[in-house]
Amino acid sequence: MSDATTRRDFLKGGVAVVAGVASVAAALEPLRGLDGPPDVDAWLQSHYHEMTPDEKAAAIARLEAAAKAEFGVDITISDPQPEAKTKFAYALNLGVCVGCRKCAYACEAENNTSRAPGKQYIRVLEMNKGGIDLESANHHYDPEQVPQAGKFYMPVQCHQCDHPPCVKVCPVEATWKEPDGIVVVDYDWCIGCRYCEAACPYWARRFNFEKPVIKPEEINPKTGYLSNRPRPAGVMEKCTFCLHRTREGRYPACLEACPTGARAFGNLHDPKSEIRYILEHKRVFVLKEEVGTLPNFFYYFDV
Amino acid sequence: MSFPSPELRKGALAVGGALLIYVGLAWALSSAAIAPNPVAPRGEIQVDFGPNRLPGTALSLHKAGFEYQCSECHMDQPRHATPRTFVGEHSTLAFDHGANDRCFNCHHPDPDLADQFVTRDGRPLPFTEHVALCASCHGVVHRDWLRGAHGRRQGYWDRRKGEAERTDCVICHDPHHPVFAPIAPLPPPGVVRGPARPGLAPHGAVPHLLNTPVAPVPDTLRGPAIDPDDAPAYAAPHAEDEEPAR
Repeated sequence: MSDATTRRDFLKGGVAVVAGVASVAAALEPLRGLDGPPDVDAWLQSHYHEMTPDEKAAAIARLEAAAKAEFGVDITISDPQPEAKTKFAYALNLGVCVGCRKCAYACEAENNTSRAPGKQYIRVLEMNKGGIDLESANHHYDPEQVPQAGKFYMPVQCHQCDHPPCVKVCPVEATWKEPDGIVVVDYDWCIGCRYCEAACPYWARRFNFEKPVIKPEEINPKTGYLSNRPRPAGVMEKCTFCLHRTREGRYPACLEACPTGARAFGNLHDPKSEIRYILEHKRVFVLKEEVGTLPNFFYYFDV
Repeated sequence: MSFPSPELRKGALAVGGALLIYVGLAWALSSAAIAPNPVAPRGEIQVDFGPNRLPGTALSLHKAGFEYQCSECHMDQPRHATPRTFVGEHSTLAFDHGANDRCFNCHHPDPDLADQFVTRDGRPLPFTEHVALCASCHGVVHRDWLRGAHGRRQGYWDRRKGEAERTDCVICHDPHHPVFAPIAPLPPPGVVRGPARPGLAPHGAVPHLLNTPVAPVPDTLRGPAIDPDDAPAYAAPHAEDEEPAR
């Protein structure tokens, strides 16, 4: 073997080096999106149920600081706990819903969902009067005015099922049902496999393909750890009945936004609550009863 | 090209390779990070959370900023037996309350009591008691409203922690035109992933498959046309099913 480097050897070596560099660069491609070194605390954070109160406080402080660094906004992340003898339920009067989508936009503003790509928890279906035909429902309707003659409108959001298929399929237990009935997601534990999105018969879950983009001035600074705090890319999110509001006794944002008063919300364990009155006096039904999810979201007509 | 020794050759290759890797990594890491999506312009999406009432249906002088009582004009107004057309000051009112199409069904006909409502049994009722007046006809709705199944709520579902603000009838409903005015819907949900990209139709621009009109069946799929004159003459149905004579 000659010691002299031939042209062939040099070219072979050069091609190998270039290919090696290219493959290393491709492997490091995700690092280009990083701003600074990775946060060790975030990587080592435990599941929500396994964190001690001190660890939760540290995680909240870290997330608040991260939001401040990213958006320049002082947000507060609360962690309200479910109360005893409380189970939330929702009722929606399809007879008065006009399909204006104000609920969806109020939800967007309240829950810090991504504006680009747009992500809304509430999907309003437009259907022909005479039956509930989900196959022909249209949620991209955009006429000059609503309601259109011969149409009715059915907003669909998370039904907070008692038998939630989305919880059943989660491989890492990143989503679970709280004692007050709310199905929540630990955004720091979700691996983004989207099984839950596929399992949900109501299409109530949304996936962040990209980092949610919100203008800093549009961020709602009052957030909850399990509800509307800023989410990273690659995690699932969903309606939580505005958990950070409702566990403090307030109405959800979509309810307060409805211009026709189609929405009602309350505690199923309180016999004097509005929701109990509706369940006892109106002919309510649930969507897709046959799939056995036992939703806590009820629809009714009374006009 | 030759090197004096194998070691030198290996060294030169290693240095060159290291330089190439360094340059490649520097390029990879220093080039602009993934540009975030531009925030969709939301400025034009103005969400009005007010009631869906017809715009501009107030009394014209009220709209101009004047304050007055009904009795200042209605000093001597007779009771009308027929529906009235609104003239003058009232011409800007939209009026469609179904069968309730007389002014004095709700407004007191007595000129001395023109600043009050009238109940169905003739008693005057102050304007502030409008809920009771509405309830005198819409009793079922009033019951639902009291129990929270009708109308808008704001505030607290948990009455131990705070109050719920219950909107009165006339906040949402124009009493002269109680049916909600149609409004423009807010924009439909955007693209599923990423902002609108040039050259691609936005998600939803393609009408839903089942909402598109069904194309007519082409003639090639149909059977041969039947000339009515050549159609076989069928016997009248059940002509032979009659009860046989006994």
